[in-house]
Amino acid sequence: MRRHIAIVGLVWLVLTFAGLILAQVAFEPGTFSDKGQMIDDTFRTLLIMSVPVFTFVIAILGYSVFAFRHKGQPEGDGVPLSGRGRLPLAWFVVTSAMALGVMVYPGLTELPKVVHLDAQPDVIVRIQGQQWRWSVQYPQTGAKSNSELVLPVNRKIGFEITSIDVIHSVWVPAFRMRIDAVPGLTTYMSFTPTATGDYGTDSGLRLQCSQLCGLNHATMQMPVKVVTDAEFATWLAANGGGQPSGPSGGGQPVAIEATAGAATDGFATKTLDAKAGTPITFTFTNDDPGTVHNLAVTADGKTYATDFKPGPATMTVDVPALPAGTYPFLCQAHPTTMTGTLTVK
Amino acid sequence: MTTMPLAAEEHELRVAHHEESHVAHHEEEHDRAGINRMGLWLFMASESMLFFAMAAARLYLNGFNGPDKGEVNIGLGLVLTVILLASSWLGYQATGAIERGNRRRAMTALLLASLLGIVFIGGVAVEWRTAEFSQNSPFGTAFFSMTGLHVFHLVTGLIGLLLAANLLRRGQFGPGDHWGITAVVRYWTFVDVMWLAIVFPMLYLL
Amino acid sequence: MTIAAAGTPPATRRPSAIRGFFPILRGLLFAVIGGLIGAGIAIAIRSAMGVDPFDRTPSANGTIPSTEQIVTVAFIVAALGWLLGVGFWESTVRGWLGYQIKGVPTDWRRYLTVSEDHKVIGIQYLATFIVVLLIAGLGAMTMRAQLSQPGNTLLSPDTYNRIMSFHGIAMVSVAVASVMGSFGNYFVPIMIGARDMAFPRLNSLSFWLVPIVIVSLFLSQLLGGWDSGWTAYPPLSVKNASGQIMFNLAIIVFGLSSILGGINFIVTIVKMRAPGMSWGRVPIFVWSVFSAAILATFFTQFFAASLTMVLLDRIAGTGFFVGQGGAPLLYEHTFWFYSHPAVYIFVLPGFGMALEVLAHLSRKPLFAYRWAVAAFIGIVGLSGIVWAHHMFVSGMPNALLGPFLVTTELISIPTGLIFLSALGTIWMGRLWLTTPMLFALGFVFNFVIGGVTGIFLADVPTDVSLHDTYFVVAHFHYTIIGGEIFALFAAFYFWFPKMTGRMLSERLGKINFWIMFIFFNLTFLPMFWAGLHGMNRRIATYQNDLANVNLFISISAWILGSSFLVFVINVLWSLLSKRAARAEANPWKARTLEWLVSSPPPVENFPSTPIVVGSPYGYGTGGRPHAVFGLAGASDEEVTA
Repeated sequence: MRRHIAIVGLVWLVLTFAGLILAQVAFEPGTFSDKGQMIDDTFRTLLIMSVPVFTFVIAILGYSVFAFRHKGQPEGDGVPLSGRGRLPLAWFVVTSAMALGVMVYPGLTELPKVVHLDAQPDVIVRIQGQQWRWSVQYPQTGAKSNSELVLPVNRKIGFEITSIDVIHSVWVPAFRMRIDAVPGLTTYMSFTPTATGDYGTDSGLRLQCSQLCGLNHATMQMPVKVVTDAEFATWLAANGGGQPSGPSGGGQPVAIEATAGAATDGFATKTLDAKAGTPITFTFTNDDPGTVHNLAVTADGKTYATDFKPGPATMTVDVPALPAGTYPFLCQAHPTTMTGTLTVK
Repeated sequence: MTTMPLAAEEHELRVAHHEESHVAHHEEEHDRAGINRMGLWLFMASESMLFFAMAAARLYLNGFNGPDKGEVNIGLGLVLTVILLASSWLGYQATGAIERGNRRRAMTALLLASLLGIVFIGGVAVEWRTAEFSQNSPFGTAFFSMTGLHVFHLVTGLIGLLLAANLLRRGQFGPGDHWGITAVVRYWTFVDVMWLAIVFPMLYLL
Repeated sequence: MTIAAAGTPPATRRPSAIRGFFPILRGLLFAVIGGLIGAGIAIAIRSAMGVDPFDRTPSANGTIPSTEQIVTVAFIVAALGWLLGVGFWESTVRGWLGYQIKGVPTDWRRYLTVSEDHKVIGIQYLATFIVVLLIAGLGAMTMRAQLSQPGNTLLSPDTYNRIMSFHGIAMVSVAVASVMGSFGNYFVPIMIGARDMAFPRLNSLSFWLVPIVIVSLFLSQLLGGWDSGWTAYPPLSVKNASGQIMFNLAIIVFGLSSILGGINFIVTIVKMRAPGMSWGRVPIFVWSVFSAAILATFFTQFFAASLTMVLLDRIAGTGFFVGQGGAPLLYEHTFWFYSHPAVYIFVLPGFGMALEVLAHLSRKPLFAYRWAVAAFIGIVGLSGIVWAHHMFVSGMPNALLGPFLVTTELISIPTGLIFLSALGTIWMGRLWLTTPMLFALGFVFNFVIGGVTGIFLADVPTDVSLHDTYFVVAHFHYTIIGGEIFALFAAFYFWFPKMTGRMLSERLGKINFWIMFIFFNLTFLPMFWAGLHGMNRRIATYQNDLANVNLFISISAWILGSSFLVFVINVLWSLLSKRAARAEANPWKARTLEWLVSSPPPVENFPSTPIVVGSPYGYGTGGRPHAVFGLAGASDEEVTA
């Protein structure tokens, strides 16, 4: 018995040592916010704390299987350890102490820091979710955007988040922060971005819906850019004054229509043509009275979609230059019946 | 028994042999009444959770506010409560009567209890028709769903009462065999208690 | 169907195969007729109320209430029709109306109709849920095909969401009912020395409600399916396709089945233990089923209530979650108030099962038995006060975060005691490494990963980052597949000989275990990494930089899926091949009551009421058996203690 305990103890120590080394590996890509750093530190702390617990179980389990195994049916019984007396009590006390420890640190000590809201943030950003797009507003300046979330580096940002239809969740992986967007409720979150960057260089810099919200939940995302104060001011000015970043036009025009009964019959035309290498501006005319439709084109894993409006209405969407090929388009309100193919040559 | 008992275990085996003498009573039908009672109690406890959930929803939606538009008719509510209590009382009269072997009296009590149940449902229907709040206002949501849930349980209880009455008519049940009636009446009382303890105070008194 | 053959009196006349299916076919027919009648009732009521019965005007939520009202009433009447047709007319309702009830068949046909034998019902549950497990598993394989590369167009987003939602709820139903319904039903009465469950017909009702659930989940696809996952959060579930109402109705029925089953287990275990079966001698698996039954009985109503509220918002125009006063967070609270305890309904019988196998196949007493029981009770007690840890980022008041962090981490204490019991049991044992033992050991390995990663999700700061990512997906698959499903397989390999009288192939069993164990870990360990790298849950496509890890996961998942084929082959071979070894009464030389009777057990379970005289785990302590048979006496082969 002593010898077994000694060997398991040794195995445990070796495994723990190896585990603690492994726990130093960078498991996550770098973070871009102050609270993200706190969260990553907490993660690391928990990881280090859990290594000896994990290796303890694995050492006993692995050694028992190795040392006490029998190929066929064992003759006789094992040592009848009943597990009464002090050992379980000691186990109970130790595990309780560990649980209480984890609860207090890093649980309760770090919690208020992470959920803390700045009473006076430098920049207020309102985020509104709807199926399946984000829009952001900067009430201090009146700037708006439907295409990107731009934040100044090293400024305290206060977010005010709502949804107009179903529950969404605001999550930027690179910031590590998340809060749900709930219809009928405003939720809040605040942190300070600590480094500049954009979605092009780090895919974690995206505003991603992380609460299942229906059809295009997976692609309900918006690029995020962290910039310097000067760049931020320029961007605000370019997007300020309530100018919606809506259709700028300019691309080659492509028109499509939906008429009465489109929900079952589909678009008036099922195929569209466009030239390769030039941006495209789609004009979608909804002539289906009272029924909500839109037009969404999927290319390179991204979806470009117009607003949803009941007919009669006209909506537009801009799509960047596409390489030659075929691309599916559909009405996101009737994704099974209203579909078609865009051919780019 | 294939093994000789060790000396230290003799006492325990003696206990076992003592228990053996009861084996005859421990066949399938042992304590059937107790089993039935426990099953019914658990079922009612479980169903009461449904009412607690709805009460929690009502408090979540409305806080401690009452109707937001118009008033519920508390007079009618009180009358309905009395009707329901009377109905439960009649149910227990039926149980008592069948225990004493008085089938005619049990039948009358069951039918009267059912009748009062129907009157109660009629009263709720009047409440629904005259309600001045819409069913999508917070209070309306709570009001219509809680009374609806309660009426649904009343209807199931009513079916039970009528089935029991029918079985009684066909000659089943007697002083020593009336679990069917007892169970239905107990469930009927449970539905009343839900009204009295949860639905009525949540909708009329808060 | 050889599994039905043994242990039953021979049928006087061999009925044709068609006649065996008669109850099910009649149930389907009655369901169709019931559906039509129900639709007629709904149309009549709408007409009587002076509204156009087929009004297509959408509600404010974009749904068509008239259709959904008609479907709802049709569903209810169809469900009743199914139950009457499948055998409850003869066995139950006739009695309610004062007519003589009719007996049920005793040959193999009893597997296809209402039976009052808990062993038959156990096998009905087992067969049904293995099929559901395989179908839902195919769903997972399809999802992994879609996710094998980013931007894959194999499935449309709508199809993906529907399959993902189906996979979720189907697997949750497997998790809720597979161990409890099949092995619980089959073995709990035998292990406590009872002839049957407390309410045999209610038990049968619990089972025959299940086909309604499964069929409805498929039929819902005709109404557009549902894309809101198994959690079905409103307002999405109030606004999406009408398939959602079939989901809600089906799961309310499933809840009813679960509640009735729970009540049945509690009463059986409390009231029907054999003489001498004191609480201290109850096998640990029975304790675990008892604990899970308490949870099922008292918490499931909250799920039913949540789903009913969504249903009312859709068909009755109430405003629980939509409109001016609607409160979406209300649903999350009531839903998780059930659904967190539900994970203990999944896993407690898994714990019990694993501990049972570990003790018998380590030839040792279950270590710290009393502490393990206390742990089960502790988990039951704590499970009701931890639900909001699913809602740390839901926008609920921050004041709730700390308390729920504390209660959630308290759960690790009783869970730790179960590990103490498991590790103490194998320590210094004589480990008989048969297939069930391998699965039980695999359970311990997997569950420690599932448990440790749970701490990261219980801790608010890390949960803010990890919530709704693949980290969570990996975590709960470690607890549910790595935990419960491994325990289910341990139970299956352990008890299959008892249930059928035939042995499974050890060689195939070990192949099954090793493929499953290795590729389970290779599938789900990388998911932790994907989650940390920004892959969120329930998505049909993802960022390009996660392509490699996802391809690796997909390939591992397909191999994991193939291990189930090995399992199916093993079972079919054992059942159908003439060369498959017959099982003796006690192939594992275990001590609990089910091993004291023939394989499969006789209809009445025991030749006479057993008298319990010792611990079920008295290995190495001397010769005292767990139980002996009383006066009537069993033959010596049957009492192999």
